[in-house]
Amino acid sequence: MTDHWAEVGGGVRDRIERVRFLNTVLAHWGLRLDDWGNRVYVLRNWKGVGKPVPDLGKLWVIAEQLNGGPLDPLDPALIERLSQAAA
Amino acid sequence: MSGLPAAAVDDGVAAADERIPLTLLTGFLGSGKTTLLARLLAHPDMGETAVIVNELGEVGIDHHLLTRVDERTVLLDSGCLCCTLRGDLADELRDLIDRMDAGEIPRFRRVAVETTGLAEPAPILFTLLTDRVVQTHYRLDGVVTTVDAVNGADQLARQPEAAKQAAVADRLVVTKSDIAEPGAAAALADRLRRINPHAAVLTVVQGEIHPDDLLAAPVRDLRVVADELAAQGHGAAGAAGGHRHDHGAHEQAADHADHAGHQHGPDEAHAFSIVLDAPLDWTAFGIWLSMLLQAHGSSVLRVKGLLDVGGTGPLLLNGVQHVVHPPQHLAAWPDDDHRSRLVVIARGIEEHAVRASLVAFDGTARRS
Repeated sequence: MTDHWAEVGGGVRDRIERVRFLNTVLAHWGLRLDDWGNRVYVLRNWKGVGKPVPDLGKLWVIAEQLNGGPLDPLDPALIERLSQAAA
Repeated sequence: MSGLPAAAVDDGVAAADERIPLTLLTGFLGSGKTTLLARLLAHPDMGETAVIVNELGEVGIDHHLLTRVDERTVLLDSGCLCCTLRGDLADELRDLIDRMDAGEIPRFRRVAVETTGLAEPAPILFTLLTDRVVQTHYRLDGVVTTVDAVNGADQLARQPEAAKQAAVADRLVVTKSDIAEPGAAAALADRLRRINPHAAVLTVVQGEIHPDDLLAAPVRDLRVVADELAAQGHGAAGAAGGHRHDHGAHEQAADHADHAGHQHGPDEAHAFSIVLDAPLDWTAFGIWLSMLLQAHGSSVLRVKGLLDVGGTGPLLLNGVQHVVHPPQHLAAWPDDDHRSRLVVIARGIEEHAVRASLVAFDGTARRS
C-alpha cells in the first residue's frame, strides 16, 4: 500500500496502525486483512478465501468481491457498532 | 492512533510551487463555452498562454493568427499559443513541454484546456493527477464551468453531468444573461451557489471577461463557506472541549425547517459542511473517505477540506468523485481557529449519516 493518496509516506508503525484500524471496520462484514512482512497485504473473508491487496483504493473493490456486495461506511449498523466500541 | 501524512508534509507549501498552472474549461453543450473561449483567445492579455482546444475552426481565430506553427498549432498576435487536442490529454501536455524545451514553440506560463461538452470531469482530473510527467510540469490551478442562464437550471435538474461539472468548478461562469428571462441569471447564480458555495460565480455577457479574472479568480475561503453552510442548517459543529456530537435526524429536520429558503430534494445536488473541534486522526479519516468514495463516489460530487491532523498547519484536501488530489500540508493556519472543516457536495445521501459515520470512525481510532 504505497500509491494511494491516504497512504503516501508513513513508516511501519503507520502500516500496523492502518491494518489494525481497517480490521476493526472490516470485521463488520466478516473480513480480515493480514500484513505479510510489511510487504504484502492479503484480505480474507469468513470462508477463508483470500486475495492480495495492492493499495487502499483497490482494497474496497476486492472487499466488495469477497463480501459479495458493497461495504457502506454509512451503514447504520456499522456506525452503531463503531460508536459502541468507542464509547 | 496516528498521524501525519508524511509525504504531504514534504510537498511543501503552495507558494513554492513553480509548476505551470493549468485551468480546465468545461461546460455543458451549448452553454457558451466556445464563445467564451473565442473571446479569450482574441484578448491581447493572453500572451504566454497555451490553450488546447477541440477544434481550431470552431473558435474563429483566423484574423488573430500570427503564425501557423504546424497543422494543429497556431500562434496568435497576442502571443497566445493555440493547439488542437489529437487524442490523449497527457500526451498533449507532455508534447507541449517537449516542443517548448526544443524551441519549436514560444515559452508559456499557463495552460487552459477545453473539454468536450459531455466530458465527465473526474477522469480528466485523474489523468492530470496520476501522470507523473504531467504532474512534474503542471499543477491544476482550477476548473472553470460555463452554465447558461437560458437552459442551465433545466440542465442542472435533468442532466447528471451538468451538476457534476458545476460541483467540480472553482469558477462558475453564468453566460447568456443578456438573452435570458429577467431574473433568470440571478436565480441560476443562487442555485449554483447552493450546489457549489466554494466557487466564485461570475456573470459574463458575450464572453467578455479579462483572462486573469477567468483563469486566476480566487475561490472563496473554505472556512467561511463551511461556517455559512453550518449557519444555514447544512452543517454540524463539534461541541466545546474537543468532544464531538452529531445532529440527529430530528434536529436536522428542524434545521431544514428553519431554513426554508435552502430546501432541496434528496437527489438534488447541494453542499453541506462538517466542522470538528479536535484534531482528526488521519489514518481513520483516509480510510473513511476512501471507503465513502468507493461506496458513494457517484453521489459524492466533491469533497474539500481544511483539516487539523495534528501538524503545525492545516492539511488541504480536494477530491472530485473518486479522484482525490494528493493532500497538501500548508505551513501555518491563518489564525487561532484550528477547527477542521470539510465541505461536501453530494446528492442522494443523508448529510447526518455522513457526519455520524465520520465521527464514529474518528472516535474509534482515537480510543484504540
